Amino acid sequence: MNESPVAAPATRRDSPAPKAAASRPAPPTATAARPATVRATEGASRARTSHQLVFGALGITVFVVAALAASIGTVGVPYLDTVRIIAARTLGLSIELPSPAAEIVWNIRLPRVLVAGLVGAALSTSGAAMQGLFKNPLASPGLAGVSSGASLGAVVAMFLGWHFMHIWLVPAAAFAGALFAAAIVYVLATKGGRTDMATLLLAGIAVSAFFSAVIAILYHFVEDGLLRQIVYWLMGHLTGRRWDHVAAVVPFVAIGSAALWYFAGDLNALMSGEDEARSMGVPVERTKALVLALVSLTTGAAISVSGMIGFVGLITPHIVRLLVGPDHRRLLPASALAGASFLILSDLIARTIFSPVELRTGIVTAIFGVPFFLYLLASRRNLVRWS
Amino acid sequence: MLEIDGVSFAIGSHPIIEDVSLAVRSGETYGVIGPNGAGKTTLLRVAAALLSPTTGRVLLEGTDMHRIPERARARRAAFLSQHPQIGFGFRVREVVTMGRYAYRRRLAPLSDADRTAVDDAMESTGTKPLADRIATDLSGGELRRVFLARALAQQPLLLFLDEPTAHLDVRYQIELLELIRHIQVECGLTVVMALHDLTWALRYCHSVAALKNGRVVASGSTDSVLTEERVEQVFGVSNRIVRPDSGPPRVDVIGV
Repeated sequence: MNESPVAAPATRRDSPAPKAAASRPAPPTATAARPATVRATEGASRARTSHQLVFGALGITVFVVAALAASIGTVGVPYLDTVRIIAARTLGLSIELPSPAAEIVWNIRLPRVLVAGLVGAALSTSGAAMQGLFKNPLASPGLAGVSSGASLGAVVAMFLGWHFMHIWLVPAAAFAGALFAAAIVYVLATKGGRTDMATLLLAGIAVSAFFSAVIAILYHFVEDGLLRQIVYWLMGHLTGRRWDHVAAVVPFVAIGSAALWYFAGDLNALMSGEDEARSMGVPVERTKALVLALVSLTTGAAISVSGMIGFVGLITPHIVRLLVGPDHRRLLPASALAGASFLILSDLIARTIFSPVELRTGIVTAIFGVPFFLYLLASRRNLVRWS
Repeated sequence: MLEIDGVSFAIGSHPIIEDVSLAVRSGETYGVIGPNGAGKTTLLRVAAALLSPTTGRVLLEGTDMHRIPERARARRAAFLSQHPQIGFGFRVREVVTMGRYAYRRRLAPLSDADRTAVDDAMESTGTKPLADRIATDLSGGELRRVFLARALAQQPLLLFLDEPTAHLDVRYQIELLELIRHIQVECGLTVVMALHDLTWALRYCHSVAALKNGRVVASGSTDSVLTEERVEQVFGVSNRIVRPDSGPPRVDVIGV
């Protein structure tokens, strides 16, 4: 019995012999350090797997919802037929399909669905970026005056009768108005190369109030028919959106959202303050300027084809944070997918719930989105942990 | 290592710090003391290149801090402000990982070096058990250690701390300062920190600069700067510096 403890060290003392050392390559320090590292990696990979599942689910949802929206309407097209029509047209295959159904799905419904998806993605990504940039859960894509600028641009264009002259004049005016307003707000808040975010917020609100007042003045000088059109535009809608509209927004949304994603790490760093971000190596002023510019472009383009669709950009990021956490590397793309599904679904409801009467899409996002959001707020007290 | 050379900073025509010159040696803890409004925070922010000085310059190993590109600078100097905060439900590990910003390519996954740096930083600050907690749920003392871990994840040579003990209870203050001292020795860091508590300055700093109204009143080794007369001159309080035979020294403040 006494021999074994003596024997053990003896064998261990033998181990530095070349043969034993080769069979046991890991030095003792590495073995000691391993458990902690392994545990951390396991935790991280579990989180990564669950995030991948969420992204997978969000991606599939967009396609399912899009096909659903393309199949439902006054003329019902079976779901599988819809999928086949879309697949066939996209891939350039010729499958024998009932031609009116194919026409409806491909030329009428699908463009509208795509515009809804793109607008939803643009507003949600922009909203998430703005909430990060302002470190404020109340921030929305149009905060820097973009929404009110777009509205004023569109209303002035309609007031001048441009909507009769060319289909693109109102959206172009809205886009110009959005960028104009954002530029004013940015210049007001920037002094000596530094942009003060509190000033920017206040300037944005002030400019919005002023533009709303100008719009209200114009109300007095238009006849009822035009007034109705203006009010409808302001509520946001997607009626009659065609492939042209898809083509017009795609570059802005695609480039804008991708570019915002590029700034995800900077937005993360900015969440603990500008000094901290700067000390971590973030070029703070350049980041603020570029993120604001990208948000203005993306949001401006979205609003100019859809009108004012509220709440998507405010709510979606909060819901998405529950699923993938606050890291902007995941939050921004997940918000884009979720926002696309949300707006496609909202637009489907808008088209069909009181058919043949169409609701404005902006109304549906509020009527259905807000109660859901309030329910989340009430049931999850920790939904908005902003400080 | 760090040379602050005739630095002034003014807001409009109102000077905050004026003609400050200090030399910080490699591997030491340098304390900046002075009453409220003396310009301690501003001096630290200018020194860490978060603010550009109106005149003068800051040299890090002979290179102008303000001319080093952001990322390269962040790999050499880290700054921890007085009230670090982070909202939106970030978890502790995510917060510490942000310290790797200057090492990572955009949107690239963490490298092994990043993971090791984050793990080491959390290990040495004792924040590993907090890794999956949400930052806003932590106590002030825990949060301070998390942000310290993030600064360490930057693997800097130089660490700026703006009142690291602010709003902490006495025990946490000592624990944090001991932790900083420990890390400093272990990693060979140079630490520059603003401190309110003169006793801590006396115990934890090799050198001290006393600021008053934006100007340096005295700078040099802690013992030469922190004298009873100087404390009275700078803070306007009568005081006694007690150096007991056993145990560390302290500054007793008697009254105005």
